[in-house]
Amino acid sequence: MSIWRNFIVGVRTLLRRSDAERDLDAELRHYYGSAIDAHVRQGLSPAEAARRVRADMGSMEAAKEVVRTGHWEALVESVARDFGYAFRTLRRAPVFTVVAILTLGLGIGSSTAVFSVADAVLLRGLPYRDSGRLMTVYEADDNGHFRTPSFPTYQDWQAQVAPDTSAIDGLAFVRGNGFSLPGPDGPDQYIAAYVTPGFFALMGNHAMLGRTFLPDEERAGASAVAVISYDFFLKRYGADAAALGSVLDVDSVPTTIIGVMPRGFAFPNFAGSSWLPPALWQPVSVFRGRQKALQLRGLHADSRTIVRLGTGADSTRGVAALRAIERRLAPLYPEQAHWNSVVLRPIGEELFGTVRPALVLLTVAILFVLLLSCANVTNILLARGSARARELAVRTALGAGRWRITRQLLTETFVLTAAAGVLGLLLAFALVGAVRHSADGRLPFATHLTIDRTAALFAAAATLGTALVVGILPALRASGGDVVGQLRGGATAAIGGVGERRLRGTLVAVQFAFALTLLIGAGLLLQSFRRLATVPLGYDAENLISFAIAPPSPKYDQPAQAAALYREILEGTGSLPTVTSSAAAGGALLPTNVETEGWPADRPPPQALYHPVSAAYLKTLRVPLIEGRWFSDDDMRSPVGFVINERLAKTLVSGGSVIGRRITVHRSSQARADFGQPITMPVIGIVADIHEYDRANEPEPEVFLPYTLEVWPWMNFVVRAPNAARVIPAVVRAVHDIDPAIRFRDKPSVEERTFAGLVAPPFLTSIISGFAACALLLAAVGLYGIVAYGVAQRSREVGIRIALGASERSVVALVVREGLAFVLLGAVVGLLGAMASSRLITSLLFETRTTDVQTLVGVPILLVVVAVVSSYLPARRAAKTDPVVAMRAD
Amino acid sequence: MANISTDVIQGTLDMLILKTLSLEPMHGFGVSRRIEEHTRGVFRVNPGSLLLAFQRLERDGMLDAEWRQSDNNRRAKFYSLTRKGRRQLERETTTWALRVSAIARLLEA
Repeated sequence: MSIWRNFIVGVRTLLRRSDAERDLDAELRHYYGSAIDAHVRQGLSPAEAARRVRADMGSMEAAKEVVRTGHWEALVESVARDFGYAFRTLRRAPVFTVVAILTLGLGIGSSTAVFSVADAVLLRGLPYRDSGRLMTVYEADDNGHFRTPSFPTYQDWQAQVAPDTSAIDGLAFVRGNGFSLPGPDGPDQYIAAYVTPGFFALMGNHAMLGRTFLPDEERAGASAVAVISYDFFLKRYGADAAALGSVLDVDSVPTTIIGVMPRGFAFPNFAGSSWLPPALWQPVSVFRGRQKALQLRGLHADSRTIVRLGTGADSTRGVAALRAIERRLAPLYPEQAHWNSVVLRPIGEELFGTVRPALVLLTVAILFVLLLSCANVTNILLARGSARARELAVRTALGAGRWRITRQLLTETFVLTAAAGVLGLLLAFALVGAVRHSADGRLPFATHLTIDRTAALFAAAATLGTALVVGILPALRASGGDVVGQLRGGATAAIGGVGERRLRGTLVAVQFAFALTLLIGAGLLLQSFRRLATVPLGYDAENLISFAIAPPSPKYDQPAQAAALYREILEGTGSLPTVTSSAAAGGALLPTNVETEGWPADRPPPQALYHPVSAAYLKTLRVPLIEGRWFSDDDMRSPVGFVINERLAKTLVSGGSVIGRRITVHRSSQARADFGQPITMPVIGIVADIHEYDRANEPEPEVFLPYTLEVWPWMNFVVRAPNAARVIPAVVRAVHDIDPAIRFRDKPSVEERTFAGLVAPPFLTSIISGFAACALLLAAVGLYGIVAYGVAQRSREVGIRIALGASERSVVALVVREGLAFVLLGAVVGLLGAMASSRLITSLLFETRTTDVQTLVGVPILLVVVAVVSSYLPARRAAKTDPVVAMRAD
Repeated sequence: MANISTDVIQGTLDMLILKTLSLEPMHGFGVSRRIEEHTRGVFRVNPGSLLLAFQRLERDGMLDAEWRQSDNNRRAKFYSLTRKGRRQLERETTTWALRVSAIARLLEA
């Protein structure tokens, strides 16, 4: 009650200061008047009475001051005065103000943006109960190959795992499949996940709306139901709860939506290094009847088997339990015997494994940039502090306490950093928006990226931290100055400048240390990118349009219908003006077994990527033929053999020719009725290896067959034309002329697929290089500042030297040498820092070691060159000093 | 003679003010003179401290204030005790008496 009243009265006083002053004045006037009257009544003269009262009570002004400063609002007023003064001071130095705000704003903004990405991907943790105990299971063989367990394998494990409950809490199997829904710009592609009973319980999540599956709904033959993802709920239904109970056609099956999972529930990600979480989950029983793949053992399809480890069990115990089961089952399935091991991977690593090192690197780099910009602004503030030394000395002489002056200077810094914080927050919004836009499908949870409360708090903390880091040092130095010396003038002030120059030099050294560390990181990434870019792809990637289509169902469900469609597309695109050739290539991303006569029974058969292709494939990609022959048009009509690549050929035979050798592969398209059937034909040709998806790894073994032999249910096409980018619209038209319902799985583009993904070398390299360039610029500006300052401080000394006959060159050398001492110190520290932090970058490099000589020598040389230039400029000005002017000054 | 310093015995000054105003509404100088007379000049109050104490007590709801003509025909701010102020005075008088007798016993012991 009285606190409230105190507050109200205080605020009123603040708002109507003149009223309060008038009241106070009138009251005191009455008080003093009455006191004087009292003395006069006792016989003193009015003048004498007034004198006596003043002596007794002190001046009226002093009394006013006691009253004014006695309430809380007085503090508010003095802070407000500090702010007003700070604003005026900053407005008088617009260049300084703008540079400082921009520097700090960039630092705060970019670190907030990086933080919000890191927070979403690294820090927030997975939304599954006790997610550290959730592991993805892989089977492994002696050669270090991995595969995901098949559905029958999962069923066996599930049946056997019960006795071993202490190590394993439960198992679940998820199978993914694409489906499409009509969207505003043609059909949209989504992922459906088919899950075994108990999947949601295993993950530890409930539906956010509605419910997950009932046991009856998970029985074979039950009517189809689905639980949808939060993102799908937003995108497709605008977060309208009416979605529950509505019916959706999933692969032409009417499916009732019974629940919505909470935001962030996004398991599994079938897309590998990119990000494509399921839009909905359905009981695996829905899928089982339609997909023969689920009945085959030993097949690794788009599936995941997850295990939840028992409380207190580590992955070693989990592996041991699963291996024990595998050993029990081994006699039943001798053909799978070489898959005799099990590997568990934490699901966090599975989801974020590729992104994490890149994000950690980005976070460290951005912190460096932030610290560097702090160092730079501190340096400017110190320089300003010494320029304002006299003003501050005058204020001190007039009675301002040390704390008062410190507070004043801190207020100025605070105003600067607060403005920078606001700028930074705006910048962060823009940056995060850009990342959200460009990283969807590449970065986990990209659609959830936003400057939320946590990120805003981070920005606020970064701003406050920056204000303290930047402000404390200059404020303490400036307020502790030698008042008399400053008032007396420049001569003594210059002596005080030595310590100051050392302090600022140290800051420059720190800046160069950070800059060097960043530059070395960027150098290593650039070096590695350069090496990656020169890896021969094995084909001509220039002027090649690639796209992928999915034929609308059920019109092209029969293989013959799809084959006819593909032929039409090949003819349609191939006959476009300027197009020289057009080819089709289907096939799974995962390898298939290649069996051959005479292969030792105790060794697992070699594996190869399985590619049904059209006759023009070799010509369109310009892949060299090594031996034998490539497919002719006749082969498309009546297939007589396989073509394999060199790598597979070397695996199959250790000497002599593989041409004519009969090999067997199994049909790999899981959507077809004849899935898994063997095809046995001789090898008729060998082609060169190519890097199709990935430059960094060795080319995969490949086996090619005519696309008419196994008609892949969707198809990649490549079209070669000079000026390929210009032909893209014609390609889109040609495809839609054939059937407007055709959906592009990948839109036609000339981009190279070997550089896909957010953490791909070009993206990361350009960001880190940008940071490093900023760092170098900031450091150079800092050095320029300190040298110019030193020269100004010592203009008299320089004048004397010149008067005594020092040459221009020796003066320049003197000044530059002094600046370089700090730079070299910083360079040594930076080099050590780079070595210490090399662990962060190792996993992101390609054929480049962190001790790369070119980088470790080249970067410091670049740094020194920049340092020499930025100290040469002020040094030259010093050397041009007119000795007479310099010595007469002050 | 002691000048009452607000930071040392602020509570005492507040009590003296409340006691003085319990007799009749008064202006600042009146309170000061009354305190000085009644304590025979032991306590002299500095105007700044006194007015600050008035304002604080007013904010605490112990005092009411209004501008009135004073006897010498000047406008003066008269302070009077509110009900809350009166209760506060009673409380303080009691504790004061307790304290004084306790200290007295201690000093006589």
